[in-house]
Amino acid sequence: MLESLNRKTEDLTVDSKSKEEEEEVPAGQVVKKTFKKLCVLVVDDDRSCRSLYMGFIQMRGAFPYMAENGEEAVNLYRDGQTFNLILMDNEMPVMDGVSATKELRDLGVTSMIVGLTSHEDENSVFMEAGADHCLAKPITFENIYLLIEQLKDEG
Amino acid sequence: LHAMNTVVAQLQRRFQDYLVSLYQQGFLDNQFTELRKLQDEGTPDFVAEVVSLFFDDCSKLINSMSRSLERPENVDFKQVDSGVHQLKGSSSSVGARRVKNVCISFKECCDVQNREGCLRCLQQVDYEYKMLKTKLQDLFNLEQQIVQAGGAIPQVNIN
Repeated sequence: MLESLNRKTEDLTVDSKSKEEEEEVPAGQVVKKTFKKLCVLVVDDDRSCRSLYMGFIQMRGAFPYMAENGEEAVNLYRDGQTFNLILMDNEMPVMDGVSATKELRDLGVTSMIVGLTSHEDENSVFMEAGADHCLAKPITFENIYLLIEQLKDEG
Repeated sequence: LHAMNTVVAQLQRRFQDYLVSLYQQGFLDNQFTELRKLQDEGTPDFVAEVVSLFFDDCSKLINSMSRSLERPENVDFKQVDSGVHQLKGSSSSVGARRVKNVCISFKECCDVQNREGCLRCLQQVDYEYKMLKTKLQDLFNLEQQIVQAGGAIPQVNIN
């Protein structure tokens, strides 16, 4: 399946080169827009969750990347990779999401970090660690859509 | 051609009714609808592949929790709790409603270190995920039959 997702990413790359980045929006209509080069890192130890979020991200026209735990996410940044958005689960082996968020902020990472929470009491801990937002699981396509819209507005 | 269209229509109707029944019987919730949004001609097996990962992980987690609960004098409730948390998260993300609901009860048993309660929940979660797996396999088989008959998978409005 990851192969099929990767193929879909390649298709998007080809399509995004030939399409306008923004479309005119007729009054009263919602038009799905796609964004070039928006990179989203999904950090979650659960395979089915990762696949789902990556599907949402690709559907929104962005490029998904994944890490299985907080340490992998931090190492990606140490290796010089950057992302526009990080979706960070909390409870993961090796390094949890709150710890990874703190470490990324300590490294000077300014990417938008969204904590994915299972309990309400995780929200304040995530925000104190430096997350920009928290979302309660399960994540929906609309959640991803609105986040990417926000990134576009800020960009 | 007319006969083929009739066959397709009948299969589509069966698919629709079956999918609706899975929601009505509580096997699935709205999050499964979110999953189905991601399936198209380019990724026709997306839902099947994601749920396959989920069922795979269910099996591994249940085995792990079973080992943790095996000896009454040495139950690792922290390990069990971790497994339940993971299972609750993944079942919630794919829309496996009954599995998720059992996990809620399971977590409560873990919190009070009730081994017997945990064992009952473990048995139930094992039953529910296997039941859902069978039901979804039947659904995917119907999808395949529709496609092989030359039809399209219908969009189903779940209210």
